[in-house]
Amino acid sequence: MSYTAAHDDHHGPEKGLLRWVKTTNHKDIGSLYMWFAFAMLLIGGAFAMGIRAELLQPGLQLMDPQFFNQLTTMHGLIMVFGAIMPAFVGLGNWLIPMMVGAPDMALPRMNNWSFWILPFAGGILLSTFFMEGGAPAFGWTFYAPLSTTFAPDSTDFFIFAVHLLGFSSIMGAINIIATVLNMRAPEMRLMDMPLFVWTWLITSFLLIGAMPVLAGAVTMMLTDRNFGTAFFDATGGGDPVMFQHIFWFFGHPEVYIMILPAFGVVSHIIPTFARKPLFGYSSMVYATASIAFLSYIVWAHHMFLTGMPVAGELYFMYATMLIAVPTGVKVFNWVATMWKGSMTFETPMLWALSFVFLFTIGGFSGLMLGIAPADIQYHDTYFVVAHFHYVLVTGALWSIIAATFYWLPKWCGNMYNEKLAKFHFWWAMISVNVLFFPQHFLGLAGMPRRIPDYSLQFADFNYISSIGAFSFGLSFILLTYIVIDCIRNGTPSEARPWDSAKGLEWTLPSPAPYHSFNTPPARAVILEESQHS
Amino acid sequence: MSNQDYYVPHGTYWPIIGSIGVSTLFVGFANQMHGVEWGGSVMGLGMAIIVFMLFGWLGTVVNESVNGMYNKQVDKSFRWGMSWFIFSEVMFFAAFFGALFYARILSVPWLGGADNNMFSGATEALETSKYIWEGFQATWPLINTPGAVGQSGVEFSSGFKLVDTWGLPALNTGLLLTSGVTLTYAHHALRKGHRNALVFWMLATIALGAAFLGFQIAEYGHAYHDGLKLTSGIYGSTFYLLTGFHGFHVTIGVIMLTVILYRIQKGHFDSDNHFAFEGVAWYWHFVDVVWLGLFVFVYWI
Amino acid sequence: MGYIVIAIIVVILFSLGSALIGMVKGGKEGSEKMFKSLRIRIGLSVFLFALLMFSGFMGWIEPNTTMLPTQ
Repeated sequence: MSYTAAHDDHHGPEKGLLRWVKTTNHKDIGSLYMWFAFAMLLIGGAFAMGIRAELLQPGLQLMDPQFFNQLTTMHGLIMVFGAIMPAFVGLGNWLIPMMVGAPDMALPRMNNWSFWILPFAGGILLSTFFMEGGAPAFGWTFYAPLSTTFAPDSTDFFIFAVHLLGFSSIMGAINIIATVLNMRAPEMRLMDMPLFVWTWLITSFLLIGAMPVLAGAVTMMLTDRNFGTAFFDATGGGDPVMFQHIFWFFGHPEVYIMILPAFGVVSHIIPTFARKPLFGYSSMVYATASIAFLSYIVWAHHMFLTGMPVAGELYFMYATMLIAVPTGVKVFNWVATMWKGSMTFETPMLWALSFVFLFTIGGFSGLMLGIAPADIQYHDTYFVVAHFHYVLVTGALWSIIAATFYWLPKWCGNMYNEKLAKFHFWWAMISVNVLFFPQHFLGLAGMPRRIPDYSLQFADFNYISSIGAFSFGLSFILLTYIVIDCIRNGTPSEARPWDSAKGLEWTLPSPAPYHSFNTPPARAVILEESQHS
Repeated sequence: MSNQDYYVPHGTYWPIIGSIGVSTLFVGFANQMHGVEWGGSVMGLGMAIIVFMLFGWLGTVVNESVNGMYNKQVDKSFRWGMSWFIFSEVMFFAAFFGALFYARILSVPWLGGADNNMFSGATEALETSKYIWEGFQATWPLINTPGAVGQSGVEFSSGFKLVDTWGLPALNTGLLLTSGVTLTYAHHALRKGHRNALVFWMLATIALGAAFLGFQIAEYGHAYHDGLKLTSGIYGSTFYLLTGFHGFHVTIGVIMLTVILYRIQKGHFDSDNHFAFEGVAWYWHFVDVVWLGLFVFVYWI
Repeated sequence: MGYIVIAIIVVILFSLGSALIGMVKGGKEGSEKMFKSLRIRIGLSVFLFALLMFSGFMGWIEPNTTMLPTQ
């Protein structure tokens, strides 16, 4: 069976700007996603700079508390829905068809739509800053009644933006499932698939299961706000805590949506630079699936302080502890992959290695938070902030940057500046720890999250944290330069720039051709490039 | 199937048109709710753009399909796509069913003072609840809300009369189930290649679906007259959102069935190759089962 | 009675899911599986409806129109 794309599609991309609007090509759409995510990262990052500037010293210096709350809310929403998730979908778009030996994504027109909803959703979300009453200020978790009774009118725009983001994610996930299950080279079995493909396949199931529940939650919010229903109002027989249940039924799978593809990325990079096959390929697959399953049945560990039934607290605590088992399997497998390997430390490896260290710190602080009696102390403190920034910044974002350096030669055909990239890594790595590590101490000492002002005993650590934040923020200017410099003036790269890299994508020339595989690769090639040990 | 190549369409404008349409609809809707004059017309404009996009996009797909540009693998992609889209619908309804069960089984009893700690062995209502809403009786259906006025100032429509299960709901269930039967006959006729029977049963299905919608609107009219409104507290909230979203899906289903009937008339399907029919048929069966769940859990047990 | 009703609903959901698997499979075999499962699901649904109506008529179950205390 040949895969040649039909009729007039053999030629390359169209000319002009309209190419990007009309495109149905997985690489074009992948690039659009990545650039959109990067733009959102910079916007969300700018909000974070505002937050840390206000927190540099105790007292109110720069903004009024209401605006501070708008910044924390929008920072969270933009980073989660605008930066991390689209970046992973972008990586998936670019890489999955190449990794499974397909010509393109399964549903190319829908692929275009799942991207082109995003700028509209992002635009609506950001426009709330300019509305009367300002942007939503209730935190990214938008708990009722803060988001129903006590929220500004702009909240309705926020609700619709969330609906649009949900459409986009669901369509993206459907596309990835159809691509992986239906477009795979006929000779590639499921257990031959690279781990990035596996983790994205499982992530897609999480997305399709979780995003519609979020849509349901915001729809109930919408009717509570505008049509007099009482889902989250105890006066009418509803329950504000019910909002938290519905939200976290989405929210907990959501956090795994943002980390499972990261696991996949790291499982590609570590074997390459350790020059050893991935340790325990099949256990990695099963561990990913277990984490995904568990993510659906642990949501209320975010709600230990809501007065849940004691039996519920116990169940959710024990179920949460269980997640440490498959996650531990993964971390030990990465370590075992490196054991006695002949390791080198090119930039992608540095990011992947620091991912293993720093993500594990975030994982452990997550375990601490998962213990119900201990959580009474940590709940809603800066300890939580430190925890989820360790898993999302030095976890998810780290893997996205690692993936960018690892696959950039394949994408644009050029090698980046290794010296500059290594310098950038150390800059970012050190400053991110200066930024977030002191927040553990702040939290344990009792500083609540989401406050613009704090008591004096928290001043020193906040000062250090803010200095780290400014340094970390500046490092992204260098990252932008490195990437653009690579695309424009980098030295041309070979098809397989990393000598021991495995994967079908490396059998294609660099930069990769417009349509990935016109004929599906043969069994021998697939086995040669597989991650089996 | 005429060719062996996986069809990768060339550039397309439909998605961006769709994005503009959906955003226009939502921006209009939000403004409409805030009492802005132009809100309604902008909503209508957005809706029109969406309809235009759907006709254009799906029309292109139908044309490509009829012209034999899709091979078996493309067909399979659509099948996977449809099935996971349906799963997302299931999860959307699950959120509202979840809200219904949470309120009935957990939060309404708690409002009435039930203890939430099974280890405490308490059997009497907790004292605290008596001080917050004196005289509140936790019942299901919850006809009298704990407070008269909601947090945001809504006056709750308490003490309403419930819809009689034996009346319109039972009739509607019968109608929808019959439409499931007629659709199964249509499916059978299609598989056997009996064209006239197929058209007849499709017409019957569409008519029954439309009748269901008509009676549903009538039921809402009666309910509103008897005081069961969106503002009737948690019972009204779950009742209207569940049946409302179900009705919305029936509407979509009727429209899709009509399109399929049109395509049958055009001779797009044969007994072996009719994925569009299968997709829509499954959708209709799904909507039917959701109603059955509603009928059982809202009106019966 | 409630448990019987819920059990039937579970079987209905099961056959609906089986029809979905048939639909995804496609081809002659899948189409056959889909049609058969859908037939089972509609048959059971009609049976469930009849059962509800009959036991309501006989007074074995009460419709949700009477307010029952939840505790």
